[in-house]
Amino acid sequence: MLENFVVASVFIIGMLVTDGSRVKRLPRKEKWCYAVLGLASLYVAFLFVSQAPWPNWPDVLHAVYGGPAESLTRYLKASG
Amino acid sequence: MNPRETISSSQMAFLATAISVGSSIVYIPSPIEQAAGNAAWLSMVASFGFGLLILSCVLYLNRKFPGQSLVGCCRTLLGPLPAAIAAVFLLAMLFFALPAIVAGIGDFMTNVVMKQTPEYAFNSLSFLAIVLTVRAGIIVMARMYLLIVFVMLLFCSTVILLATPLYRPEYLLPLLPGGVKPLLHGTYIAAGFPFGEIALFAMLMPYADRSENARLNRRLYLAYTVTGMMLLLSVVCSTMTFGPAAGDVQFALFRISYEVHVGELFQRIEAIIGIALILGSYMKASLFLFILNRILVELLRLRDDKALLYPLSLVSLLLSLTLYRNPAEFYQQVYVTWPFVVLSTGCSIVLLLTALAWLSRRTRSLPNGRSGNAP
Repeated sequence: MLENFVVASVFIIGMLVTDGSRVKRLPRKEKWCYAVLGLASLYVAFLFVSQAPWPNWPDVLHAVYGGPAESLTRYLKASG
Repeated sequence: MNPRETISSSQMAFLATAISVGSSIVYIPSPIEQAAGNAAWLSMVASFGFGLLILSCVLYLNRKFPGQSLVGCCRTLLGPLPAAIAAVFLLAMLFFALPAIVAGIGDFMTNVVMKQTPEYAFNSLSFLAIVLTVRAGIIVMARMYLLIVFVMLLFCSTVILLATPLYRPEYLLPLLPGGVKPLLHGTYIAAGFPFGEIALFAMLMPYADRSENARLNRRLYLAYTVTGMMLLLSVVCSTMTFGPAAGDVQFALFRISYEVHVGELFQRIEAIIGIALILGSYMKASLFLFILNRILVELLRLRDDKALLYPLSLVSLLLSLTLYRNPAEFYQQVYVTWPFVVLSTGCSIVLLLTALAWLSRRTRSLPNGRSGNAP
């Protein structure tokens, strides 16, 4: 957990240090998008550090597409 | 998009090869053979046909709406709201595909090459290379991929050729011992991954040099055929080498290269397949990040088209590290859910737009035709 925390912190701080000065000069809309993606990063970083079984992006995708995809695969796998 | 950022038709062809072959030349034999058995190669032929249909639609849309991307075509044909919905679905696709490709590199490295090294070391370095490549722009990518695609195809062809003594053509028979359903299952998987992914190539069409439109179509078909042939060869060779066990062999081309012993000169050449896999994954992931960024820029009409590259990469990097809890889950995501996502979203959008473009042309040309025939 500590290792993952250090790794996630390095990733996030690394990006902010590299991009920080440029972000200040961005137009307002870009700044908002940047912030939303930053929040998404923090959430996924939390999942990475805590290994909590909280919903992740593949779970969302699975909730939308998983049912029909599995039904189709089950049908194609059935013999005959 | 910078209006001066255009690339030649041959560079577009290499990009199409990069996006289609990618890492799939190493990954694809095993799931297709598991699904279709000896009919795996037939599945590849059928899904290649489907891929050609999607490519034809992409080229048709490019002819009808020159200089417009997939999102642009959606906006023209369907209006702003449906275009935004389509863009959100495409984003959802790419937020899974991009981390999955890089997770594949990490998975390969930690399972086969450097088992003690943590996956984040590989994933983070891969993403660093990917984001810097995308920041450099499409022209740099196109110039660079010319060489990398050539090297990748050369490495794979060399292994396929050197492994000739291992092939047993009798393993290809019987052709359909389990009926037609396994063939359809294999076709479904390969139609989604990798052939159907060519639908996303429509996002790169505005970068094609419009003065070369006639040559562009010819070269893209040629590049796609070379891609299909290479993937077909890797499946056929894998079946002829491992026979009924081919479906259980992960990274089939890598395992084939492991078995190659030609005198004392060509031994332990698996490293070159490892290099091909990493190069293929890197190119495909870079193109997917480029497309992901393009969709966001067009959806939100952003003025700075490079503003979101770093946060997009960071989210994708962290997703690649949390994508699956065990290998079975990853298999389920990539070979069960992903083909359906590609077919039901990427391919469906392209097919729908093509049908609408064709119908709108017909409805517009009918009155002209009538007036032309009128006395």
